[in-house]
Amino acid sequence: MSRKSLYRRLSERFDQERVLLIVLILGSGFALVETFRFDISAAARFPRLTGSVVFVGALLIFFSKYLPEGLRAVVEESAGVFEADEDFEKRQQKAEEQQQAGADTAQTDRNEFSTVGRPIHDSVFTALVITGYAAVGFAIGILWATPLFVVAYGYWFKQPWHLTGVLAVIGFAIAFGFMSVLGVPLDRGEIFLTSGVF
Amino acid sequence: MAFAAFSEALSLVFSWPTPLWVVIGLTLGMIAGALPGIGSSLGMAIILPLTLPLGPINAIILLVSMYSGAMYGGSISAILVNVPGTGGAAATTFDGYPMAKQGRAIDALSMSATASAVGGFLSVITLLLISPILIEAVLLFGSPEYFLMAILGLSMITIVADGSMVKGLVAGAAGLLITTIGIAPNSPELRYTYGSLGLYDGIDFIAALIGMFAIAEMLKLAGQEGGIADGDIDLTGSTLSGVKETLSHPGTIIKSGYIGMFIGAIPGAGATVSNFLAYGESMRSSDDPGSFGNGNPLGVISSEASNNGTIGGSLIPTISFGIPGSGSTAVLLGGLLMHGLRPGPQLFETDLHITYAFLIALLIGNIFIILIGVLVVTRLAKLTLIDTHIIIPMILVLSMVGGYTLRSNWVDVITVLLLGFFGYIMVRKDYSIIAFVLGVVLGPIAEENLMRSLQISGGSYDIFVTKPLSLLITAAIILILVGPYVKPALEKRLA
Repeated sequence: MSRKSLYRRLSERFDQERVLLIVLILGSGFALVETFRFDISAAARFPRLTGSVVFVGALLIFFSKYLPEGLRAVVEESAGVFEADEDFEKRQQKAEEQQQAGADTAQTDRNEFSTVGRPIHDSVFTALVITGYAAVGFAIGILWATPLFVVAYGYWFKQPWHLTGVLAVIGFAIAFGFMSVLGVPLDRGEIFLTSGVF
Repeated sequence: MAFAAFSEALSLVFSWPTPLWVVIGLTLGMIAGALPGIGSSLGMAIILPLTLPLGPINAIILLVSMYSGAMYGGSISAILVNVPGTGGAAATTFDGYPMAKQGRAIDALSMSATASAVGGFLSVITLLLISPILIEAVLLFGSPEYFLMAILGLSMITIVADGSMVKGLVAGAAGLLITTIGIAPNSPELRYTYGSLGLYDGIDFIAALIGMFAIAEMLKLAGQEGGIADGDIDLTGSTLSGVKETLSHPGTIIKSGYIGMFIGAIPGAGATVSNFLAYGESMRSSDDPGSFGNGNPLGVISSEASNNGTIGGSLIPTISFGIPGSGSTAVLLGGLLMHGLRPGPQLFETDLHITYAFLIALLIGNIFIILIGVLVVTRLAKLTLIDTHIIIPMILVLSMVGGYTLRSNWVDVITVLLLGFFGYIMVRKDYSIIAFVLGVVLGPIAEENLMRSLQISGGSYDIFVTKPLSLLITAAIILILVGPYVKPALEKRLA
């Protein structure tokens, strides 16, 4: 099986909402259980209250398909306080679509995953590259990781080299500005360059 | 007391360099608003860490000016490229873009600037006038009422926001839950820290705001195609006729401004709702409703007067009870808390001069909106041509650097990242980000007031229903949460 078809299979099976709900159910369930280990009972009250709402609510959404009709309607339907008339809703929907999609409809150099013809979704790549940015920043310092991140981003999205170079310099300048003005040790890593450069 | 505070606020606002922060805030806001996908909440969130070296007054003035500028900025791309820069300018596209197509782009932009300025001015001046009543009302509130108001705000958001109410409740409660990490208020209990020093002070709400607004939005934007505009609109028309035409419709401006103010005061509603309602009302009361959607100037005027009118309204619950009316006011609330300003009695007693200072700054800002909007709008229009792949890496750099800057703590960077991913899925799956963010911002205030109330009552929950005011708020919460489901059944039975 090729990497592309493996990725396609994985992305087709990956239900983001299910993952979100599982994280919420497990996270709130764990938070609830932990409250029974607190030494001061008053400190357990608020996490227990909020954790219960998250746990029960996320469970209801997760299993909404199996709920009786009345309860399912409560779980799935919008309360709709500001429901506009039909004509307005159409216009609102159109405006929202325009806001999301932008006006540019150029179709060149794109496939089903990426607007620039890459083998994975653009949002997935962006999530991966910023995770990498944080990891490299942790290792060598955010100041030094910043131009690397900008170059990686520009390369992936096929930006012209001169533009990527300018953006890398601007990115470095932003980080350097924060470091100089706010006195934050952005030039220090936790693994390398631990005592900083500037 | 109020007069003395007002005089002090006046001298603060007009002392250098505060006016400069007003102009900088407005300009940054207009830029953020003009860039579709950025908008006021995201723009303000990434600027927040940079306000650390400023004093509280200048920082808040910078943020409220950004908020105000972004409301106008959103109309630039709405008019020129038919893509609203912010949700609050969505209805502006209906007539603004046809006007631009008819060669009246400058007219429409000038109308937008004038209507925004007048609508915003009206709502802030009204807020200033009603502030003595507001002060009296706020002083009636104690710990139980503040806790209940936090719950009321969250409940309101869940019914106003898109998507199911249960999803909204889960989002809000999840936001509250993550604020329980760290040392518990009024007690030495360490919760969910597992020996990590970085977690002792809990999750930083500014990091959460950056993650939810900036990272989540950039992930979404990355999947959309490059340029926003194709630059096919010529900037033609007349500034003067745009301003004149707007001022010849005072009724529409006043009505739309107050619709904006009223809707803005409802937590969660904000400019996204008010601009449609004001547009609808303008169309309903027009002699020629058929011309709406084909370049009727009243469409632009009503939408723009209402979205800036929302600002004054949304500040009422924000500064009085710490309940933000929108994403932008949630960030503003974050700014207030970051600079040691607590919403509620403090902002109406010891810090009243600060409250007046930023309201006065907003008033001045509205005058600058006309000046900046009319004079430099042709340059701002070029922003709509910027490729999103230039904007995205810069916003991500600002977000990561800003996140680390908060406390020089890697926990904040991880928070920015994780909540960014979390927010991205929430946006895609119709979970209210505003409810989550509100939970994160309100969590510590809500818990502190809950604990204090229960200490006063000796652990009894009766304290939330014994006083008439708290009983009223409790009843309102129940009504809001149960009402939407009970009402159809009641109507059916009555029919």
